This record gives sequence, C-alpha cells and structure tokens, in this order.
Amino acid sequence: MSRQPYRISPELAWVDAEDGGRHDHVVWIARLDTAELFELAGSAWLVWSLLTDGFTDASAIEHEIDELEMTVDFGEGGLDAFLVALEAQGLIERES
Amino acid sequence: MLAPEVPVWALTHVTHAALQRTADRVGADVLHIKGPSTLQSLRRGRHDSTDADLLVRPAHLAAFIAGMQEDGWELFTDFDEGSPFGHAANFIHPSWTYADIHRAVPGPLAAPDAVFERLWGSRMTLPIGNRHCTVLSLPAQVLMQALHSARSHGLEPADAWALCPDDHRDAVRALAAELQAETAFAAGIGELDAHSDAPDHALWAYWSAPEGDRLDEWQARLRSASTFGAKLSVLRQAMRVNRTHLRLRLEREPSRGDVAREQVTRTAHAVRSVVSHLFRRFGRSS
Repeated sequence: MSRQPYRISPELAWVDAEDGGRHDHVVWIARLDTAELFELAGSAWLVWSLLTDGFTDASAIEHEIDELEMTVDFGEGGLDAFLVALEAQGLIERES
Repeated sequence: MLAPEVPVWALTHVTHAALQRTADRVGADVLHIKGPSTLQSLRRGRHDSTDADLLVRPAHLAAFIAGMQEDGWELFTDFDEGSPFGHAANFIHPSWTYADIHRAVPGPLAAPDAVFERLWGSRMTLPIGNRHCTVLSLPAQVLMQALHSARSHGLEPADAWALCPDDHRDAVRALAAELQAETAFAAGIGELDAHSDAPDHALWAYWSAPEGDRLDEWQARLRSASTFGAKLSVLRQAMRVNRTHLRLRLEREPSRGDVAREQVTRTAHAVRSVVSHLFRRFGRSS
C-alpha cells in the first residue's frame, strides 16, 4: 500500500544547529505566517532532515533510516502518526 | 514540539527570513547585511548574531515599516535615537529577535538612495533560514563590515577585509571610492592617516580610535558637518535628551520631570567635559 506523500509547507523558515556551527541534532522551525516557533530534536530532527532532503513519504523515510542502519523509536503511533502531527502543526502538507 | 526557547543566533536566521517575507509581501527592496547574510568565507568563527540587520531602499522605507507593523513588529528605538548617525531604527516582535532597519549606511558621502541603488545593482541571493534573501555582493559585504569596524572604537576588527581574497580587494576599494566612503573605509582597515585632508577625517578618527568622552564625539561631528545648518543640527542633538536611552535606563516611560532632570545632568556633564578638555589642552601647551 502506498503511503501519503508530503511536502514542506511554503511559509516556513528553519535553521539546523549545524547551520550555526553547532553539533546538536536539533532544528528550529518558524511558521512565518503565524510567527510560531517549533523545535525538533533527536529522531524528530532526523525525520525533518530526511523530509527536506526529498524523502517525501513514510516508506521512503523508513527505508532511508534502514539504509543508515539506525534504530528509531517513533512512539506509539509510529512514523505515520508523527507525520500527521507535523501536518497538524502546519509544518508539512499533503501532496495534492 | 513547541519551542519556548530558541537560541538567539538561530532566531536571528529565521528573523531574516520573516523580514524577507514582509519585504516580498509589500514589494520593498531590502538588502540583508551583517550576521548570517555575510559569507562564511568572510567571517571568523561561528554565527553569534543577536539581531537581524536590513538596509532598505529609502523610497520603500515607509511601506516596509508599515508592512512590518502589520506583521506584528513594534518600533523600539527610532532613527533619531538609535545611534549618533541616525541611520537605523530598532524594532521588536513577540516571536522574532530584534530587527535593525537601516535607512542609510554610515560612511559614504554619496546620497543614501544612490548608495542603495549601487548596492542593489550588484546584489545576490543567499538562503537564510532556508529562504532566499537578497544580500550584498562580496565586495560590498567586505566594505560594509569595514565601515562597521570604522565606528567600533577599535573593538571590532575588519575581519572581512583581512579574509577578503586578494583578487577582490581592488573591487572593494573601487566600490568605496564610488560611494565616496574612502575615509570611513580607510578608518576601518587602519589606513586613515592617508586621508588626513579629508573633510570627514575628524569624524572617523574619533569613531575608529578607543572611546573618548562625549565632547570628543560632538567635536568630531561638528568639524565634519559641512554646512552651517548641519553644524546647528549637531549642536541641537548634542544637548537634546535621548528619551529612548532614558527609558531603557529607568525601565519605564520617562516623565517630564525625568526629562528635565536629565537635561540638567546633561548640561552639567557637558560643562565638566569642556573644563576637562581645557585642562588637558592647558596641560599639553604648558
């Protein structure tokens, strides 16, 4: 079964800790339309990094995480629930 | 997921992005300057900026500021109160870090609109906060940082000039000449002595040297004011109480009594500075 592809919402800015010469796995995201700020760290940071690198659906993200030989715990609802939460915050939107 | 505390350096990046969005929305030409808008190759160390600096096309300034206010920004320090050059106003926002909005660049003797047009003509775009932002060309970035250094009382070295590739240095000098900013630029890079005959030499000698007292500053500004009207304006500013600075010091809106007391203090301080200068002068000549 194919899973819902997403894209980054157009009204966002974000900055990775690495952009400022830091080595933490954190990204700060701003919704420019509402002036809301968000922080994603750890596995949430990893998912965001993959989304911005063009891995647009849960299957592609899971596959890439396997390729990276990483083990990631996405909690009770799994990766799909996390992507839905990102969508609910207006950080990603479904590809039409 | 909500982040109540974002490091200010990171907030600076997204603030640049937010200001670019405002500029795009209202059709204002803006150039992001300093901080993350400076190429990595021209900076020593990592980003540690605390505010977002923008130079706005003078003709677009009113529209841009109106757009900022629609987007939730509030004026904190007006142009006439923010710095002795009157070049920038400071804005605050509930989510973003401070924004320094520049209507001019201290240093060039060319008119602000001509300076902006020249800088705009050689602009490039750079992603800041993953948004396309309009920034200065490499030579203009080097010049801008040297001009900033020139007014730092020696506290901020001209790193961009030191790191500037040799094959770009002629372009930086040419740009300084084109904008009639040779004296300030020279002050920034330690070549001010070569401009001792320049009308703005005293001003930049003051700003690039270790900090003196306020009378030194006003003397330098007075000597560099080119017309009678400009000199009169300097004298008026010298004696005027800066309400913003007073508000910051008192941590409340100053009353008329506060302003009056400050005026008396300011006048007394001016008299003490004059007396101190006379003693110094007397001491040198005896």
